[in-house]
Amino acid sequence: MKDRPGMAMLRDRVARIEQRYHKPLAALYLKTGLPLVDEALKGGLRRGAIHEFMGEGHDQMLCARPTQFVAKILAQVTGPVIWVMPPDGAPLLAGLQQTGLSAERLLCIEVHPARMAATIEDVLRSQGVAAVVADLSTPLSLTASRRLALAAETSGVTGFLLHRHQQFVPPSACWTRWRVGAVASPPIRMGQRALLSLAENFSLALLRHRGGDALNWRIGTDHVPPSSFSLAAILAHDALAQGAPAARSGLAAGSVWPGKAGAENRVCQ
Amino acid sequence: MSANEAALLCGIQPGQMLAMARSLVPDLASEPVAPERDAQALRRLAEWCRRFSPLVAVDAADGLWIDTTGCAHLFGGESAMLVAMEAALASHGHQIRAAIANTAGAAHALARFGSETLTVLSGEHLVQALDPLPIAALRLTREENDRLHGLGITRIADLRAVPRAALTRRFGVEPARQLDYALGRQKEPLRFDHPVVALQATRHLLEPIGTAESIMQVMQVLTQEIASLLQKKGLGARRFDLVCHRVDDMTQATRIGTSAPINDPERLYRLLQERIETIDPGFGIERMSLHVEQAERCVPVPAAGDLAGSGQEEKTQVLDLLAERLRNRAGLHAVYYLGESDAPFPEAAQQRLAAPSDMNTPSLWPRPTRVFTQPCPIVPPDLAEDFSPKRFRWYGKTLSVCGADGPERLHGAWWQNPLQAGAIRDYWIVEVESGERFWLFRNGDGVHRWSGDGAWFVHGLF
Repeated sequence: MKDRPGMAMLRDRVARIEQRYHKPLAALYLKTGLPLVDEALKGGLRRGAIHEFMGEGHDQMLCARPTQFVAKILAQVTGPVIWVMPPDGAPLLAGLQQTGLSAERLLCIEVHPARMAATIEDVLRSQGVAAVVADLSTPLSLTASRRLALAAETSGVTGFLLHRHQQFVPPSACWTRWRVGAVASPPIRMGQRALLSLAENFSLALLRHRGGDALNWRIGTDHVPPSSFSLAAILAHDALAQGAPAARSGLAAGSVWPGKAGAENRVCQ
Repeated sequence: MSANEAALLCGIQPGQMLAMARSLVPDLASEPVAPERDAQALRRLAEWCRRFSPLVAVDAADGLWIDTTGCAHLFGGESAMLVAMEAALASHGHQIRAAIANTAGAAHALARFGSETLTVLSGEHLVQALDPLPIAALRLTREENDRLHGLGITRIADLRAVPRAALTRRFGVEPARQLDYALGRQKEPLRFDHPVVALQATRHLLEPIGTAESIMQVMQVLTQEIASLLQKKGLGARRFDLVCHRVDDMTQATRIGTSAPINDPERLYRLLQERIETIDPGFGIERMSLHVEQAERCVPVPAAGDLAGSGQEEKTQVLDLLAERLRNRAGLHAVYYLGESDAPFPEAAQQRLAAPSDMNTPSLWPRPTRVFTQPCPIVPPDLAEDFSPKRFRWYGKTLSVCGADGPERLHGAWWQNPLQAGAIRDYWIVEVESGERFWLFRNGDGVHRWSGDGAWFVHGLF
């Protein structure tokens, strides 16, 4: 008889855990748009969890590539996106729109760095929001990240943390941690000039993944926004594309090239 | 009998008998004395005078107190304020005498007994200005006035010369106190009425409350009452105050602003609930009231759900509700939507909007997602034969360029800013060996001085 309240609580918890898996796959995961990455993550980035992103090299302070990556993911889902940032840290709207994220879905909140964690948590707990993106100027403590993870889990809102600083990022309670960096793309030579290839290659490193392995990818994506016509297809018949490396064909969905280092390298093509 | 200016011109004197006045001016218009209507008109005038200062009180019979502290500069100084006041009241048919002084007593005396209609008195001249005035200026009763006159004390200077102890012994405390009030030796309490709020709901509580749950319960009752009042009038609240009176006679006010007129009890309640942590109940709250400070006409929205496209509206409504909630939250610097502006340079090409706009067209040119708050100046890079940057220094490292795209030439917005007339920026996207792509620009076209000084900057990264 003594155990009964305990049992009821346990049943309640089991029911709540099970409830999560009764939803369709799209309600559980955010697709990255890169088939191999989605496959490795068993469907994409988990909704209702916190994901951390870091830049690499000269991009550590600015986090341009991670921002672009996150914006591309968010462009594929519907629903409001809240961007929490320190004062005067707004991303460039023109760049975000080229990834497909529209301005009317995006609400920006500027807050002092000291109140950042509390604000993110507050927004994570609100209903009807698809995702929260936060620019961090200092790493979060384990406790703070745990609070965020709990808030995200209760409300089902996905959180993206962009580490815009050069400090060491301590272990956190986030579901995944990514490093998005640059990969040299072979330039197109035209006479004296070295033009840029349209495909902007980037490296994607999954540094931590709860219940999964650390992985590495090197990806060449199409630079053209999804709403527009495919410029690569047009250029395929153009003089410019003559000198382009053969590997450029079929990049539209993001082909995956062999990586250099990491716990496990996925090789394709 | 009292008379106005037109009657005075006809030779009528105040205090005459009505019959005598009628014999002088046969078509004299006369009204019986109606103190109640006078008082009412004075109250209305006091209400109207709130345009000069929020603190206005009626000074019984024929005067108004206006506390101008912190308001005079809005009119360009104290004397300018008095002139503006006289002109505004003259257009309503009122002739006034007014005085601004450091103490209420001095202002009262100067307005009624001063030599000029408009007087501004600064602190150091207070005594000199008051000395020649009759003691009637000191708000004394008639009896006290007569007794002082009987002793030959007719001016304030005489009264000031009388030893205080003797004065108090013979005439009571009142003359001395009034003198102190006028000279600022003692602070005078004035009662200013609070502005009449069109809509308010109040709850007096039997027991002082202190817990968040009970405060929330009272809030719910108040919002429901206010919402039904607003709905009846077809109004929506734009700004409302929750005022909590505590047992220790402290008053706490919480002000809440809304982005659109609302009269939905749920929304009002949610906004109030957001601020509950800022209320300090102390020893308990005994009275809570909700005032609507600013209300606007609220267009009723038809119930959604039957027509196509209502789902989209609902979605944006979620964002609007959230924005409204966050705007009322303390500690946030700004809550805004991003929108495009028509400025050509990227750092000015976006603006902060209070409401989302769907007028945005994605740029045809590649744009990074992040730029530096200020473009970072760099040493002019080595240029290749086609004038594209070949090598540049960035944070102490020399980076050599593998590929470059550009220039994308942007012209300054001379129609907005005359300083940008003729200004040109040439933007380059360059990829360095590690694969990072930088967004560089040069001020000017590199040939003409008028187009810019030729300095190079890193604006962002792709």
